[in-house]
Amino acid sequence: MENTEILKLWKQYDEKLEKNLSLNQRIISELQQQKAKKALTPVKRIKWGAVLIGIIYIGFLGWGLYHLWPSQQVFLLGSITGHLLFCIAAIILYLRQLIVIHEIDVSENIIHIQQRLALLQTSTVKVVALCLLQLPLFSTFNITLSLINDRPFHFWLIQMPIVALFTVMGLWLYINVHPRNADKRWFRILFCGSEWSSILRAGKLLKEIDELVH
Amino acid sequence: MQYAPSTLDFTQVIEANKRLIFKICTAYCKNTDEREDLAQEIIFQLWKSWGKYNASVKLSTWMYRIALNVAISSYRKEQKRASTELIGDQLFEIADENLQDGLSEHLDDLQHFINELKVLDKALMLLYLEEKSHQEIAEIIGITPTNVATKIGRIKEQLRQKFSKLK
Repeated sequence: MENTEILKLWKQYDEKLEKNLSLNQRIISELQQQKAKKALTPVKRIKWGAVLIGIIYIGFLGWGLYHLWPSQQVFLLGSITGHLLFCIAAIILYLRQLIVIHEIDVSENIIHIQQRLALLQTSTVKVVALCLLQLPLFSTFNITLSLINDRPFHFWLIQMPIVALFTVMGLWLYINVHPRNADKRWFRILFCGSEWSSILRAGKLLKEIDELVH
Repeated sequence: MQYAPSTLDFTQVIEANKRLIFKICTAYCKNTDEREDLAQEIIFQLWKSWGKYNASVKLSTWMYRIALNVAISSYRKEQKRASTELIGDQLFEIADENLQDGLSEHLDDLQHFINELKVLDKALMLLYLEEKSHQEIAEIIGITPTNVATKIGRIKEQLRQKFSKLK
């Protein structure tokens, strides 16, 4: 079949649609009324919710630090401070995502918009990776100077291997929780259900964009 | 022809471009329910952007950009979006359900071919079939006209091979 015949066939289909297709005007007017009601999409709502909860949590951690300071419990203070810094970094990343969502204008060209949206989706993985990097902090908060001085056996043979294990796990997850591993089984378990398939599709789309542009 | 939001009613524009929306939805959706959801989302997004329409861009370019962006985003998400409260009734009312009757049997093969394409190739193919110029396709997709020509050439070759196998 020649290209001219294909174009002719598509035109005939278009003419048939013109004769047979009509739109339900009531639905169109109802969709127009939704504009004000639905200013926030579910994605925005979730991210704003996460930011709000994060700010409350940071406030709580800050309040705890204020009351603990100065203290002999240096490991506890250090762990909370580190955790606080990670939380602030995660919130900053979420706020940056919200700014990107706000700036998106679907009437811009397809490559530009789809690239931004796909990168936004994959950047959620980076926030999770960052949060996992703080894993060792959850094994250091209970260390005290008396534990090191009075119970060295317990400290070196039990506490430190746990800290080492958490550190290795945190680093491994930080490096490997990446969209490039989205097809791995462990990744699928970590990002269950539709979130995983969305990340996988976003990765595929970025690859497709790359092929189309270059 | 250039329209401006103030001089033309949104509903009239949608009515005039209903086939465009229908064809994009058919290309990106597997079944009637998905097609209906996507069409409602496209119209909702067009309405949301209507006030910002800039007449320096052709209305068809503007509409294709929004409709295709929504269709591709919907594909990426898998789960149906919920930015619109989907309305129960059918948006598309088709007088003759057997739309393809009387047309060449190749139309079915052509639509099947379009459905199998990658998301961005699908957009290129639709724009080619709508006989848009390379310049306009480039403005809609965001690549150079030369790139458009190369990519469409490749898709046409795939299509030619597909039809030659069917003979």
